[in-house]
Order: sequence, then structure tokens, then C-alpha cells
Amino acid sequence: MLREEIRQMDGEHIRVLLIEDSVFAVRHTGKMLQEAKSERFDAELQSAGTLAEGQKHLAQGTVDVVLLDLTLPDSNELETFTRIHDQIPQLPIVVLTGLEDESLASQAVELGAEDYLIKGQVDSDRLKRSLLYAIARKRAENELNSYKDHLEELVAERTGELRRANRQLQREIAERRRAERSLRVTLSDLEQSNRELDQFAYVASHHLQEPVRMVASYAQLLEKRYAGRLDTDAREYIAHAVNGAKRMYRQINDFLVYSRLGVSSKPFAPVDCAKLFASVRDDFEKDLQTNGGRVACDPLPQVLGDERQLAQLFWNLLDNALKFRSAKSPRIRISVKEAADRWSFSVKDNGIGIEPEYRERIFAIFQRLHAGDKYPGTGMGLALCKRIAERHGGKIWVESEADKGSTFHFTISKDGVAHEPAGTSQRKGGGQERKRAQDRRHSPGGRQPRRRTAGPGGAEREQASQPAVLRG
Amino acid sequence: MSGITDDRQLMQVFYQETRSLIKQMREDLSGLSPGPKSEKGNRKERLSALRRLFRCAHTVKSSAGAVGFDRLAAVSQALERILKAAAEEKLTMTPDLVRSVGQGIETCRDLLSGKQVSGWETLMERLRSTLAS
Repeated sequence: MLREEIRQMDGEHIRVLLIEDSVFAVRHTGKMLQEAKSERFDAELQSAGTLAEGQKHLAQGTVDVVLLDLTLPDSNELETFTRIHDQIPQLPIVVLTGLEDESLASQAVELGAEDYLIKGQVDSDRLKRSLLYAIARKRAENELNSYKDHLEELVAERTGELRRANRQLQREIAERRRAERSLRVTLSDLEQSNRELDQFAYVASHHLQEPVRMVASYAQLLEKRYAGRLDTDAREYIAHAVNGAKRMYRQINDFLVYSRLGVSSKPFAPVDCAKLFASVRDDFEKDLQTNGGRVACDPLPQVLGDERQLAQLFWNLLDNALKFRSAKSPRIRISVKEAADRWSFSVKDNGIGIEPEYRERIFAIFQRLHAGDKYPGTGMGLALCKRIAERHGGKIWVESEADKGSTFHFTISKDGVAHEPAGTSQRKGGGQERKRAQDRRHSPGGRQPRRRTAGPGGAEREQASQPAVLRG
Repeated sequence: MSGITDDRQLMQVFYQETRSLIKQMREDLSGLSPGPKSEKGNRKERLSALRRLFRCAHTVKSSAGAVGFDRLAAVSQALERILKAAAEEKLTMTPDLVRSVGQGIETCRDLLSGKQVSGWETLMERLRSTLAS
């Protein structure tokens, strides 16, 4: 630290106060300082002949170091030193003594003088060094004292800061806990809500099925038994009624299948998609022969999932591809791509295509793009596909343009975990929710098809329903 | 220290101050000598005078040392010691002692003016032995 101080003093203008009553000594000292002057040492000498004069001088505060003769007219030896030292404890003092008085001098040093010089034995070099070191030492000492004095202050300050930071932290923790609790409550409310909704949908559909089936049955019965006895109009009316009933039944049934998706599913197991698709394709064999259609399929992998649901998914997409064909013979292509965490399937057709603005709507329930009977359907097909894909941790989307065919893409996660919306069966804790959020980000299409309720004149794509009684 | 003697102005100051200091010493000493003035003079005044004597001797010694006047320094140093002891009342200023000190001061004067000094050793011996006892 001392070396640093001295280095910093290089070239500094030093003001020396010599308290000495001998005029010669003052001149002599002045001469020595002049001799020692260089570009690195520049000292100016001030003098006072008595202690009182010296003290007055010091009171002006223009001194860097004091050279003090201990034999002054108005003071005695050590008393001389202590009086000056007490007045300016922060300034360095070098005492001047005679040869005899070395013991006196070292006493002065013990009391706080930085150095002593023996009068008559000092040369300019010795004087310069003594002054510089005295100043440097004093500065270092002052700094140390200052640190010591302020250490307690600093510690108290720092302790205060730490306490405040701690309190802040505690507040934040409490806040976070509150937010967590609130979230858990919301989540549990949501679960409850979803459960009730599912139940409602199921119960409603189930209860509606029965009366609808009755209407359809009796209408058909009427048609069969009394066809002969009814006129053309009456037969037409009955036909409409039967059609209507059938359609209603199919609609309810599809909706039931859709809403029960989570409830009735089994845990995931390995599914051979190649075999699965082959069997689905068989269902459409007759259709394909009739319209000269061809289905090409990549080798499909084994995945983890629900076999029945995946079959339904493929079935719906293949059905749509054939149903919405163009004038050309249908050409359908199934392909698959593998990524680290998922399988990516696509079903490409050369049918009538879909206008870009409907690309998302079609995945909503009850949505139909084509009115009435041109392309029959219940508006549930793609909604069901979407729900199945999502359950398998994936996404579904379409690339298409009007009259240029469509390619439906869907992905299936490799994690083998059923991804249910909150509250439905097989919910597996927070991991599910986060997974869904991740999937959203990974969606290649970048979009999440949104669900919407049926709009006026909404269109749909058809899904042929299972129960044979109302087929056709 | 040889360089100092080159400085004429400084030397002038030296001579001036030292001469005046020696003069002061003579005056103070005569005040201590037995004579018409009361011996039992105010103690305070005596001590004050002794102290002044001591300081003068001290200054002469320092300055002499600084300019290389070794004999002058030696004598004034011996005087300084005696006078300090007397000022601290550790030594009594007997008439004998007063005389010795007076001689010492005269020697200083002579040395300063460059005069030849005789009986140097004897004087020094005497002054030193005073302190020994």
C-alpha cells in the first residue's frame, strides 16, 4: 500500500511547514529542498518561528507535512510535539532533534511522529526521502483508520440490506405460493367442469338416441307395410321423415363417439399401422373398384396408441378422400416420416380440394363445407380425427387448394402417453398440460385448429356411422 | 555538506545569526553571575534565562554542524548539555560553573571569527567533566 502511495505522489507539489526558530536552519532547509527538486519531487517551504505561529499557520490548512524542531521558544520538547499533533492528527510530522536527543526523538515517534532527523546531519536526499515517506505512511495510516471507522457502518448497512432483500424474497415466495394455490384451484375447477361436460354430452346423446331410433324404426315400418296403400306424396313424405331420422341418429351417434373418446379408451399398446391400414382399406375395396381409385401406401411403422381409435382416424381420412373426389379417378397416397419424438403421417388425394379460408374450420365439430346432400355427412368426422390425434400427443392439419386436391397431415407422439384434456380420464398430472403446450409449439403447420360450435348453414364432411341398422 | 559553503548568502545568515546568539548567551550568563544583581533573583527568571541559554547553545551547535564548523559544534554541544541540566535543575550553576560556561562562550566567539583558540583541550576537558559529576 505504501509503495502505491509513494508512486501516486510522484511529481505532486508538496507543501512543507518548518516550525523552527533559527533563521539559518530555515534557509538551510530551503536550500536542501531546492537541491532535491526534480520533475518527480517538488516541495515548497513555509516556516514559522514559534509554536503559536506554527499553529496559526496550520489552521489555514495549506500544509502537507510538518517539520518540527522540538526546542522552540514557547514550548518544551515533547509538549511541542503533542500540541501540534493534537491540532492536526491527520498530517504527518517529522521531528528535528540534536544528536543528544535521539531518545527524545524516538519517544516522539512512539507518540505518532512519522520520522526524526538529526539537525546538522541531514542532506537534501535524506530530507526528501524522509518527507515523502512521512506523507505516504500517514496517508496509508489515515486510509486504514478511515476503513476501520467505517467498517462497522458498512457492516450495519450491509446487514440492513440483507434483511431487506430477505424480506423481499419472503414476500415473493409467499406471492408465488398464493399464485400456485390459485392455479391449483382453477385447475381443479376446470377438471370438474370438463367432467360434467363430458357426462352431460354422454347422457344427453344417449337419451336422445332412444327416441330417435324409435321414430326411425316406426317410420321405416310405415314405409314397408303401407307402401302399397299410400299415394306418391305420402310415400315421399315418409321417405323424407325416414331420411331425417336416420341423419339425426347418425349425428347423435357420431357425437356420442366423439364425446366418449376419453372415457372409453384403453391404455396405449403397440399398434401395427401397416396391418391396421390394410384392414381399413379393405372396407373401401368395393368403392375403389367402382370408381377406379388407387391407394398407395408407404410401409407404415408400429406405434404406441389405441388401435380402435387409430383405425377410426385412418378410416375417416380415407373415407373423406374418396367421398370428396373430383371427376378424375381417385389417386390416394399414404406416406409417413419419422422424427425423434413423433411419427408424421399424410393422406394425399386428388379430389376437389378445400379453399384456404376453411382449412381450420373443418376440424371444428358440426362444421360442413357443403350444404345438404351433395356430400353427406354429420360434421363430426374431422373433429373426431382431431381429438384422436391430440389424444395421441399429436396434431392434424391440411394443405389444400380448391380443385387441386388435399393432403391431410397428422402426427402421433412417440411417448406412448395418452394426452387427455384436463379432467377427463387418465389425466397424468401437470406433465400433460405442459406436453400440450409443447406440442402446440412443435406443430409444423404452426396452427392449432380451433373448435367452434355449429354455425348457420355450416358444412361438414361425412363419417359413415357404425350401426348397420341405419347404414346407407 | 561541502556544497553548503558555496552558498555565500547562506553563510552570511549563518554568521549573522550565530553572532547574535552568542551575544544573547553572554547577556543571559552575566545575568546569572553573582554581582550587584541579586543572586536570589526570581527563580522563574533564572530558569527562563537558563533555558534561553540552552536553546541558543543548541542552535549554535546545529548550525555549526550544518556548515562543518566542527570545533564550534563541539564546544556548543558541551555547553548545551550543561545548560540543559541546569535549566532542568539537575545541575547547580556554581560560580565555578558560570565561569567555565563563560569561557566556553568566549571560545565560541573566537572560533566564529576565525581567531586562534588556545587551551582548547583543557576547556573541553573541564566542560565534559562537569557533566560527569
